[in-house]
Amino acid sequence: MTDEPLLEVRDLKKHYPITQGILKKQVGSVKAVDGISFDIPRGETLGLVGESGCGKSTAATSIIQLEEPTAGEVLFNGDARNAAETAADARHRNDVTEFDPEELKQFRRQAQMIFQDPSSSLDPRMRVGESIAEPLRIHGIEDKAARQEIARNLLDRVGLSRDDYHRFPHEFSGGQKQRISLARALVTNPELIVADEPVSALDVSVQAEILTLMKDIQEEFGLSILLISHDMAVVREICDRVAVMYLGEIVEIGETEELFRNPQHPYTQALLSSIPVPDPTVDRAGTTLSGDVPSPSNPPSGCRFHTRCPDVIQPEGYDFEQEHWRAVMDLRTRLAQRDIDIEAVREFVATESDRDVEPGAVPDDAAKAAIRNEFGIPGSLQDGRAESVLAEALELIVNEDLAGADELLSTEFETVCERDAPSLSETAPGHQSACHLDSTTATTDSVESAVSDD
Amino acid sequence: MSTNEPLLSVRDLTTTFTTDEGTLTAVDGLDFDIHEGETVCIVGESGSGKTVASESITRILSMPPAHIDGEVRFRGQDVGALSDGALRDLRGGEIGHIFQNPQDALNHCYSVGWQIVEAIQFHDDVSKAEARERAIELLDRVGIPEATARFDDYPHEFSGGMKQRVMIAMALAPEPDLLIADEPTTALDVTIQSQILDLLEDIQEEFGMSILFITHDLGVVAEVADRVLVMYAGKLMEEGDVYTIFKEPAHPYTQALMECLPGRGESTKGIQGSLPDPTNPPDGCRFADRCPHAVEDCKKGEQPTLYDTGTADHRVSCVYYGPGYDESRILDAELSTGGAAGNGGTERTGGMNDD
Amino acid sequence: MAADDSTPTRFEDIDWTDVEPSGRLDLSPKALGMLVSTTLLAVLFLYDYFVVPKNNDTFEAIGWAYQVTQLDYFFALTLLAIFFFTVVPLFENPHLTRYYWDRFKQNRPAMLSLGFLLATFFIGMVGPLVLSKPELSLFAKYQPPVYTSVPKSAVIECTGRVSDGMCHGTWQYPFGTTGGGKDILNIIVYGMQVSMKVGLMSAFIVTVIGSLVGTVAAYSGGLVDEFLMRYVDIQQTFPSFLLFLLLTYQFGGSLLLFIAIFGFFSWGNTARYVRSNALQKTEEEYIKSAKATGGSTWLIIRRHLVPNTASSIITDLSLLIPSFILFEAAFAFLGFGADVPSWGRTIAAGRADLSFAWWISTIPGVFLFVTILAFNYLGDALLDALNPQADTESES
Repeated sequence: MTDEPLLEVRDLKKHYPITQGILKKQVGSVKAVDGISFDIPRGETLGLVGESGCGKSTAATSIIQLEEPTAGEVLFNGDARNAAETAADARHRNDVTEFDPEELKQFRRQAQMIFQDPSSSLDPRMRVGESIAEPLRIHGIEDKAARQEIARNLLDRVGLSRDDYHRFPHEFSGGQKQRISLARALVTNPELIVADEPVSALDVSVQAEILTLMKDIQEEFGLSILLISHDMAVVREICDRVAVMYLGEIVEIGETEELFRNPQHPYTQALLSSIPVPDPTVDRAGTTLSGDVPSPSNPPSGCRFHTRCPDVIQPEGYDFEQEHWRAVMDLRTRLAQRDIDIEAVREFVATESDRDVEPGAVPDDAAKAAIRNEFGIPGSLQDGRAESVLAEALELIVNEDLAGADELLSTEFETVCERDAPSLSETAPGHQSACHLDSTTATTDSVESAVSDD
Repeated sequence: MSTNEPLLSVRDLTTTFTTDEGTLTAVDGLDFDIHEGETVCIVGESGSGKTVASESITRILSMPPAHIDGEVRFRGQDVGALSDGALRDLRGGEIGHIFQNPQDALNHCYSVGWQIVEAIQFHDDVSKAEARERAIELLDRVGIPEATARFDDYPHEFSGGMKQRVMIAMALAPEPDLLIADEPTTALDVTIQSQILDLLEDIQEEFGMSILFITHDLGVVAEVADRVLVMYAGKLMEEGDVYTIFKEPAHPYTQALMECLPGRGESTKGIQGSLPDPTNPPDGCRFADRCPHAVEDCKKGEQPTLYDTGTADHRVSCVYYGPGYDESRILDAELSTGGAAGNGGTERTGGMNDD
Repeated sequence: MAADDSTPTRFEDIDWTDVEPSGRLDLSPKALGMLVSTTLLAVLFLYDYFVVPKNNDTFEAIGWAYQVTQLDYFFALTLLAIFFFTVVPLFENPHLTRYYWDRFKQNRPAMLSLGFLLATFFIGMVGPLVLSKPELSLFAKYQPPVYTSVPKSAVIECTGRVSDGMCHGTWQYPFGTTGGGKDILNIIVYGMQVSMKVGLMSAFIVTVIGSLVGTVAAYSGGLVDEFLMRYVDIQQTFPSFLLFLLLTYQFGGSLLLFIAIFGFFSWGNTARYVRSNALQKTEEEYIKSAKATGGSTWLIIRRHLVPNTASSIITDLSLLIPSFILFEAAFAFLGFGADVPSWGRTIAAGRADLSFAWWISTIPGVFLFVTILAFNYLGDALLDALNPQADTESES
């Protein structure tokens, strides 16, 4: 064994083209995975967590080469590939994305994948034993008796019976099917298992059994596991390290306990505090994120989380209450999408006031107040200069000049979060976070100090 | 808890389905009450019958194959005796429903505003303009930004969380007294889930309605529930105050469920075995086969009656709490393994207790 | 295999450095059986074609006077395919078969249909070997079916009892005879064979081409998919009816021609259906899993995609087979049919005599009707029996 990690992912990208018309002209791309890097040492479990649409499953299928990555390297140092060498043409010899068909087939034996849905991960018309033994057959074990014996042995070892060999998947429960999937993934004695939400379709009592089984198997065979999950609790249960993804990027990565105890990135903090605690005496006082996840076809500039971040850094020279600053940022986000309909605002005001007012006759001030109200901006901002800029912008909005308002606010209230994309920086040994707050100072609780240091 | 007559009272509710394999009993003799302004959670795993129980209340199950026995009284009125028309009025009026998958529950051919207007007009005889005004107010109330502008949008133009908000607005339209929420946040991401849970809490305060909340997630239960019903294989295993249930889970099944929770920093334990066959349930306690404390009596006769544990309003269907048994055996066992909330830390960071 | 000659019994004992992925084609027993029997059939065909002199009976050497036609070879191939890919798998998976059978059994009309169709099939197969071809025999014209009667003036010679000026039917001609004196029972039996041949052989062509094109289009995607599906579009607008008329006019009608034309031009819908079904299936995780394990495209199509989409063709076939039979009857009725004793021809022949000899058109008509009805019932029941399995799978 060398100290080299089993799997090294370098700047992996997977973009899906968006096409239009008969000629399939490309008009854009969905950046499902946009430059992620991480290592998985031998015998370690890395958790990749994030909400739906963050690209975690795409990352898994790109690594395992079910989909061809758009860019980046996936270095697999398994088996005889221990000594990493660089090929003559300066490409890394262990780069999976450059493998020829033969090397790829060998890689597929050494890296297996487990899927989410136990009801669809086994061929319903194949005996489960045959399903388990199929990889052996694909990889050239021609002795049928040997294949059968190995499959039976594995069935026994994952907690089922040897006699289940001849049964069909529909005779098993969800948890049992997931055990069979695990057996199938193990049968070629792989070094890496990529598990995509392996327990999220299961009941909690079954989840626990499968997680325990995975832990045991990993210990016994020294496997490396890449676990994809949306469930922080599951990740915490079996992972050594965790990477948190948001909109195709890794925002934070670190040792599991360290990350859970001391989350650095505001997104990780929000994610953790959103989880309901199974204890009625604890109030979930955590921050609730505003809005939905933006579309990965047109991700926000700078830090992708700045459109929802509760700790978004304030513009230089202004002094807001953080909550009000967030509200102004929400207004800016909506303005940038030209998603404010002043007619509708007037109509809403007319509806709200019980007197019969024509929407056209709603005074500008009432409309402005309604906009402030909708975003939770107070009647007057604390900082006089900021207030005058905002008032000017609102004036433009009620006069239906959204572009003008957007431009005014963008120039006046520009924050570093939207300007520059933060890179991962170390906040503690082995713990990295991609946030401007971290790159200036290690503490996150004091936004003011972060700004003044800037 | 209020002492006056409950808003909803369910007695001996039994729902069976006729299938090719025989008669399947999904809910078996369920008793519970919901009082005004109270949130009651039914918690259970798949196959526990929790969803069927909720759907049996307003009889939105298709019958046949379903067959409902027992008594459901809403404000003292026997729901089972209502005519089809009166039942429809009840469903669209005093009892609102929200479901797990908002995309299936919204009609994709109509704008969301129109669907809410329809819900309002179904219940109240108001003009279209008035209904539209109310609908916009409701959309605004459930946190749809730019409610007026989005009134004419179609369901596919909304994200999952926003669709669930629209569903809630629709359910709120007739100002129901009881909202039945069947896993309303299961299909959503956690950050969106917390938004929806906050919203439900707010509107409950504002409208003063009762909520029957169906979920499998103990975390959600701890957060929203006043009272908890634990179901297993169609039977009620335990009921009680949310604090009691989490602090002193009395039924071995409830205890086992708590120990399954991952990420507590302790090793999780699954529950060995599987659900009993719902077409041919075993004698005695349904959980006996998987129960670490099971004795001979557990496998005889009927499911044990709900015994009082001594704590107020806390009842449990387990022989250990009946005559001739020592309940401390169960409770001590619970202490030795440490319940999920036994070490209830108050530290919020990390979402779990670290100590 | 492992270096020491003992067979590994645990997966971690396999020494992968010794395992050489071989390119050997791995054939299942049924595929092997199909291959062997098809080869034998081909050899027989070549023997017939090259060795046996023209106009000599094929089996003259063993003293069996039977001229095997091209249609017969093709039909044999169809039967072999049905045997190896429908009957054999049913025996291979007794458990699954039992499961389907239990579901199927509950449908009484479908059981009756299955019985009727099996009887039709076997009588149609064996009958023509035993019964002589229906022949003209003017003296025996217009004999009524047994237990019925016809005015004596209609017949030349009454085989049965004559009373009150009425000729009564006898067991010699249980279904009566036509205006040409052909025995309708013989016609019915020969017609069974024609109907089965038409239905099964066209369906065989449609199934093979349709599944192949459908799965390949679905799995390959991109240009291949585009090209194949556009071709299907074009083919479906093509009037095979006209082509058949044209070719019949040119070469004379034959059953083989009918089957070939309708088989080769009717697979469009099946291909579409298989494609959409296979597209759904390619999203299934077991396909992805097979891919991630290193399975080749061919293996995935053959071992996962085809078996899982095949059962879905049943709906399609349950509509196609009766429609082929009906088409053939319609063509025969119109007089374009092949020169074989078919039900459609007899219906046409009897329609002028309906006023007094009702049975000539009615009896084949009833058989045609019942056969088509039976196929429809059978298709419905099979669909019901096969589909719930998918439901229980997703539930559990």
